[in-house]
Amino acid sequence: MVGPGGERAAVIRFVARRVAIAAPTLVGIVAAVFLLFHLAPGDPASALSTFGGRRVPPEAAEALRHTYGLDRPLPAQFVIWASRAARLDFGRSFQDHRRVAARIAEALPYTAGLNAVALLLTLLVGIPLGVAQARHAGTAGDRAGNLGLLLLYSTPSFWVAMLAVTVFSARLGWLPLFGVASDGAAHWPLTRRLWDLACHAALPLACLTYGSLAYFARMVRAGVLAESGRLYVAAARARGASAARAVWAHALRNALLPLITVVGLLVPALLSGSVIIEQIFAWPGLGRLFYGAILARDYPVVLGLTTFTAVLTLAALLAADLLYAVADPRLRHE
Amino acid sequence: MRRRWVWMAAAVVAVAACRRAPPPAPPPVGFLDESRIGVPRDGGTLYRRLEGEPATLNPILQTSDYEAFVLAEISRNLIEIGPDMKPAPGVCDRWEVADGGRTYTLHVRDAAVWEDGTPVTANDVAFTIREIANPAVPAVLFSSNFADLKGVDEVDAKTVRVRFSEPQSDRLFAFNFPLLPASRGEKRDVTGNLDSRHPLADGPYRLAAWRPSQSIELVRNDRYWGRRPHFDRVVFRVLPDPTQAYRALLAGQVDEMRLSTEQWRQARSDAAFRRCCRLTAFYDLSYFYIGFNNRSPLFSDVATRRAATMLLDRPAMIRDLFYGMARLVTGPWPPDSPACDPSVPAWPFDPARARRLLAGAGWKPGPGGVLVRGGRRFEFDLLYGAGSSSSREITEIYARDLAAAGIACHPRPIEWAAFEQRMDSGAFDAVASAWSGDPNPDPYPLWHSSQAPPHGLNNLSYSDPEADRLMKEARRKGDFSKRMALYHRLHRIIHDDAPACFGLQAAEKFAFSRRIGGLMTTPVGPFKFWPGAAAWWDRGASGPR
Repeated sequence: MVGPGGERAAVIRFVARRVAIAAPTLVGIVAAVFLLFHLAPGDPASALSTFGGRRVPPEAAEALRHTYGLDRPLPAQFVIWASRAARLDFGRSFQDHRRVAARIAEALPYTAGLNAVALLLTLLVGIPLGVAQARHAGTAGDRAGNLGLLLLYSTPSFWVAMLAVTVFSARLGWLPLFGVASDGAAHWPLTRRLWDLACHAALPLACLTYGSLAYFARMVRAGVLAESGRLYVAAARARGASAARAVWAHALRNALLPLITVVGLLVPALLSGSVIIEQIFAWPGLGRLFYGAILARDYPVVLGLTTFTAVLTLAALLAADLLYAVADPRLRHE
Repeated sequence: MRRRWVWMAAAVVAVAACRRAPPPAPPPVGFLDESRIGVPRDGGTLYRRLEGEPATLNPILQTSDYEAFVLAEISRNLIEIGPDMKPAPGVCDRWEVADGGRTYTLHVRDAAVWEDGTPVTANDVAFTIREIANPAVPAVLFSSNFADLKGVDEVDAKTVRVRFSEPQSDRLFAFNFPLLPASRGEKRDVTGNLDSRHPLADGPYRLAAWRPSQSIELVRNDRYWGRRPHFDRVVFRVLPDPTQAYRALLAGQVDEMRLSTEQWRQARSDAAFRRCCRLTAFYDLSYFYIGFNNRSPLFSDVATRRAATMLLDRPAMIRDLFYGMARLVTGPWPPDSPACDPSVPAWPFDPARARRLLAGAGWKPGPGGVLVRGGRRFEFDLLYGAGSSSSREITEIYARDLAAAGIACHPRPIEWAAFEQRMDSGAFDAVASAWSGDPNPDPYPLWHSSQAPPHGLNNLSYSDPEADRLMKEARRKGDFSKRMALYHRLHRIIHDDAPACFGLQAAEKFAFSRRIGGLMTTPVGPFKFWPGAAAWWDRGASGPR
């Protein structure tokens, strides 16, 4: 048996190994995106001609390419970008010449806030829902729940968004149509501003959450069902635990183990799922920033955002794996 | 047996009776001028819609309409474009052209001041022009106009002399740009944040707040030297989604928006829309065309290009795709441009004549029913920018009519930036696109043979020595009507050479809130002329808020 000191060392070795792998993974991701983006036809100069219909003369386009260093060979461009990025200098956007870090920092709170609450709701609603379904598995309620969750999971978010806006904003007038805050909200007291923000976030949040919620609830149901048939649960019942306690305190803890990885994967999925929702609700987040930067071939912003998202994803996966290792003693001894 | 027939007959009758009534006749397409209707009132806030976020409010770095709309309210152009599309006084109230079009002397108004009270001087004009001509500054919309700049002299505090090497008498449109203040700092970087995010206004409004990706708020500029605007505030809302923008229009959260053809149809039968808003349609200067690469072996001869033009069924498209709200274009200038020769007829839709022309040009029927000439099949990709539904519909119909004549055409949508790159490099056989309207009718950048790829915007590589000569001569003509006479001849020559099929012009459709008074629409739209939206006022008529 490995003692406590040996366990701690094992965890540290585990983390060190994962971080060591993460660094080249990050470089690989960013290099791949850099290559793909540059190989795609079109560049910032040709993208300029598209918006507003005014054509940019080729000489001006050439001058632009030279100003941005786009006429240098690709490896040289990547090395220049990477050496600056290593010092956390992601350059300036081609579109508005502001620092990339500033543009990301401006949009980040809106996306992070929305997605954090979406994740929280997924967990807070998904777990009880999955457990309730598992406890009443096979009943008409469970079958109806299954069908309902499957329908939810299958409907595209932009359609649901349009439907929700038509019903709750246009027809009933309960919620705002778009945006983050009402006109003049900057001058309101804090509580009123928070309520205004909540009203504006309600529909985008609902559209972001329902898909991952349906997916997560079904996984919880499957996991709890699988664990409920195990011997230790029957043993707990035999020792006098109620049915509810047997599920919540025993089966659920083991059922949640594999779901830690699912939650880790939900983080990047939620971040990227925002593009359509942000366009529809005019929510000024990272999704819109990314989409606009791709169309405009804004290489610094795309690379900056890719790096940011890749770091976040790798960190989320590492955290999930760590949690898993902490929660499941079997892994620590390997 | 008999009863079944009776039921079937009844069903047929019922279905026939339920057939929708034909759509009402489209309203007339024409320009609005309500600038003298009603008494203007001061006050209120105007809510405008932007389809995208302006990247910058630096006047010389602007590239898209989103920037132009906001800049039009906070700054005045050196020389404006008036409602008649001719140059009009702006910051400059008079000017002289001398030395055969090589020297332009501009006089800045005495009253012109910036929002901080300092006067607008010749130094500001000279500074702006030098920055535009500076190769390190990406002033992509204006730099080509000053490519042959020889020098800028400040004759006195309010007079600037601009000297060019090429004689060109129609350069006034080149001065249609707003100014940068020179005295904001000796060695500032013009591409930096100061001019982009904190512009100094010299127009009717000044920047009050900019919430990135959300809204831009302007308030009245009390130091403005011209006529006071009627609205106190203007708020530009960034609303990319057109369905949401329509709902915002109904809710009174925006006062104007451009409508697509489908939205137009929906709005006409929408009672809620009629209560709050009104529709207007007009023809601007943009039009749809099918361009042939004149250097491609398929399209290098006039007869083939004319035949291809006669296979585009424009009357049917006007009727079925645009519900009658479109009209034919006959040459490089649309009908409302003064450079268009109205006596030039459009090529008809005539498949029989087209087939005869193709036969006469050496095309013979080949395997698979596709024409062949000199061992080459008449087969090509017709490229267009993805996302344009009218391009898709038009090219599908065109491909069908071409196939009936033995031409294999494959419509291919391409993402916009990639499409522009193919256009600029001339790497295509045929494209379907639109030319956006430019009040400057000078055809040289688009049609002169020296501007073929990769040097300029003559993407179709059109080349005709007589046309080249006329274009250069027109640039030197100081007299407007003489220049237009030359353009009329060019219109006929280019129509006859058919380097493109100059297709059709769809009417621009706008919705305005009923409370807006003083509306005016022109061939450059409701905004891109002086005074544009700065002359509107709040009628106070109620609409849902």
